Amino acid sequence: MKRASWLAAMLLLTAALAAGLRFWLAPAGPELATPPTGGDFRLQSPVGPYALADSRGKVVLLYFGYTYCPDICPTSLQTVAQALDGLSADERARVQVLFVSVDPERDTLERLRDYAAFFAPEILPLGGTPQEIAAVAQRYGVYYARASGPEAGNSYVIDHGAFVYLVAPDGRLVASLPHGIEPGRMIEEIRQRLGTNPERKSS
Amino acid sequence: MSLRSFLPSYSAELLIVAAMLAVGWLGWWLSPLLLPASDRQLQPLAGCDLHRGACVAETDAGRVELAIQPRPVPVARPFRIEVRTSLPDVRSVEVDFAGETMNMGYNRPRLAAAGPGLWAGEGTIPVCVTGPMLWRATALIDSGGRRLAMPVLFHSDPEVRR
Repeated sequence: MKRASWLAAMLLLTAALAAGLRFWLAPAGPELATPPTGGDFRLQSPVGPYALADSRGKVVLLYFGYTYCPDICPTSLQTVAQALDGLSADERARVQVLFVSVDPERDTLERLRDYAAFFAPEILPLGGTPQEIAAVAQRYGVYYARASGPEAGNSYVIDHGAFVYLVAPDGRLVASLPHGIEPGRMIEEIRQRLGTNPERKSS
Repeated sequence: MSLRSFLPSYSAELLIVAAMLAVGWLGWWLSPLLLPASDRQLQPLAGCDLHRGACVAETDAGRVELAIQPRPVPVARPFRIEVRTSLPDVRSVEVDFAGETMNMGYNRPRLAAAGPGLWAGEGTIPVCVTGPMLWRATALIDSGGRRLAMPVLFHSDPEVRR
């Protein structure tokens, strides 16, 4: 009986080893980024500390950029401004736009305030320490890095992602809108989260 | 009654070895069912170039084709992504865009069913101010609860902004 148990254990072990070997030898899939979780954060605005939770009940458009950005940031913010213009006054009052600077070295809060106001009054610029910015960016799956290469004094550029992140009124990250999106499509996305999309209302 | 009582001693040992081989083969064969589903990587046919056409991988389970329009693939402008597949029981299709030499953040548009075996959506890759960079577009297909991944490398060119 003891011998039979030993034999059964050996056979089971052999089966398990073979299964494990096949699993181990299987080609690994490609390394993929972890989906961003989003979530609350706290940074500084020109009018004082700001927390994402302060905008609960509103749709939040979250963009990461910097004021010295040569073309991508102004284009994205211009699209956001056009989308805001396409909303009704009621809808517009329920939208908050946040512009998080990834260049804490040069972007002072005063500079950020003047830059954001150029596009739309709803855009609230945010700054923080490099560590605080990095933590928020990581949470939203945003990359940014100072571009390597010749720099003349303070005139460096920063590579950075250009999505506009859409946060629902309950604080959940629900979509990332690509750079170059038409303002009309951005309006649809906003209205879908506000619950004012005509198609959704009738359904 | 023991095995040895009616078989020559060497026959018993042979029988045990045969049994171990049999259960070993069984374990190997059953492994995909017993262990959690893992990513399976599909290798696209050699020489494909997303800037010029679709990239295709053939497997025993079916065929996967990844294409981006317009061509060449633009940067900082939305483009259309299409995945055509004959894989069975496809539940979702995503395409992950990742910088091969630099972390470019999370960029994984989910495609919607656009016809029999066709999934389509919109994507974009950011401009890299330092010049062209190497990207990896990975078609991720959930086929019957198992994820298959087809990675394709391509270079972006910041001048291509059609």
